[in-house]
Amino acid sequence: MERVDGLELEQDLRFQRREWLVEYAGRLLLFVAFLAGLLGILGGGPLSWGQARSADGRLLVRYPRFARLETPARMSLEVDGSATRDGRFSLALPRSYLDEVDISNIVPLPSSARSEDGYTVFEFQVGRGVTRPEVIFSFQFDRAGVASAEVLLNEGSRVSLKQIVWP
Amino acid sequence: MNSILRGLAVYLFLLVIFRINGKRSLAQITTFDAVLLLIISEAIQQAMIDGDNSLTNAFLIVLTLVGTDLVLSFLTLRFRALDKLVNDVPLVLVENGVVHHDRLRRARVSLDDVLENARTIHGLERMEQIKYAVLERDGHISIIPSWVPWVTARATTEGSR
Repeated sequence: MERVDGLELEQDLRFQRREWLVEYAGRLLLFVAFLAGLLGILGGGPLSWGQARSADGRLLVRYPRFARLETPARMSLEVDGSATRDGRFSLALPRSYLDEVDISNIVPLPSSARSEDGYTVFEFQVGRGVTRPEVIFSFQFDRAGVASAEVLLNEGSRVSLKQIVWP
Repeated sequence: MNSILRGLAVYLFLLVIFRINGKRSLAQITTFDAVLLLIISEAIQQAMIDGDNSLTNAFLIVLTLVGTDLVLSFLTLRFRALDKLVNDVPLVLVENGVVHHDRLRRARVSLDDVLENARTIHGLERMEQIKYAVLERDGHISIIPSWVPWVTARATTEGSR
């Protein structure tokens, strides 16, 4: 802290220099945040989409790796035709995951849904001639943070997802 | 509780953003700056109200913002370090007629800005007529002339009697 000769003013050049440094660092951070937004790391961009396939290759899930709270999102689940039984297949989502999301729509609509040990199982019918049926879940997250889920196909093939939900 | 947390987050975010932007960020608001402020408030408002259009929510948000401001003003009065952190410190740009070019550059102030203030407020014509120029905490530039105009004016009047 220094008093400027003749002026009743206390300037603090040491603080001021540190402040300039912090300002530079802050601007750099803003630029990084801007880039992250552009790339989709903060949701809604090229890097925000992820996909995961089950070990046996029967289930392919495309999902938002980075999502935003209370913002519409969608997840598509593509099933290999060989996984259908009598024109049916089932997808199970953990209830802990469903607690964190608000599902607004499922296309096509499941023919039935039931609760099983920690999971909600959705049963789907497959139309004739469809080789790779796809189900789209439209939803939005109700909670910010990290959401993880294990999607099961016919209670066999499984895909693990981890999503970051920005507030 | 959600409204209060959102209000607090918005307050702190804006405080940090405007501090990072430096002293001069909103010192002179141009027409475009005013439009920018309106857009910022519109963008922030949506996130703050969170789809809750009730009067209670609006009151809670206003309470949070005004309350935080009040608490911060009390704390900055009490703690000098916090005051500097939140409200910044003044910076002398011209000292006894000597221009600190490095400070001008780093504070993003041009000599033209200093001269403009000297002209508009004190009617000064040249740099030599400025004794001190201080970039105040709110981003305005204070000018202290080398001579005090009213003293000179009084002396002239008295001399002519």
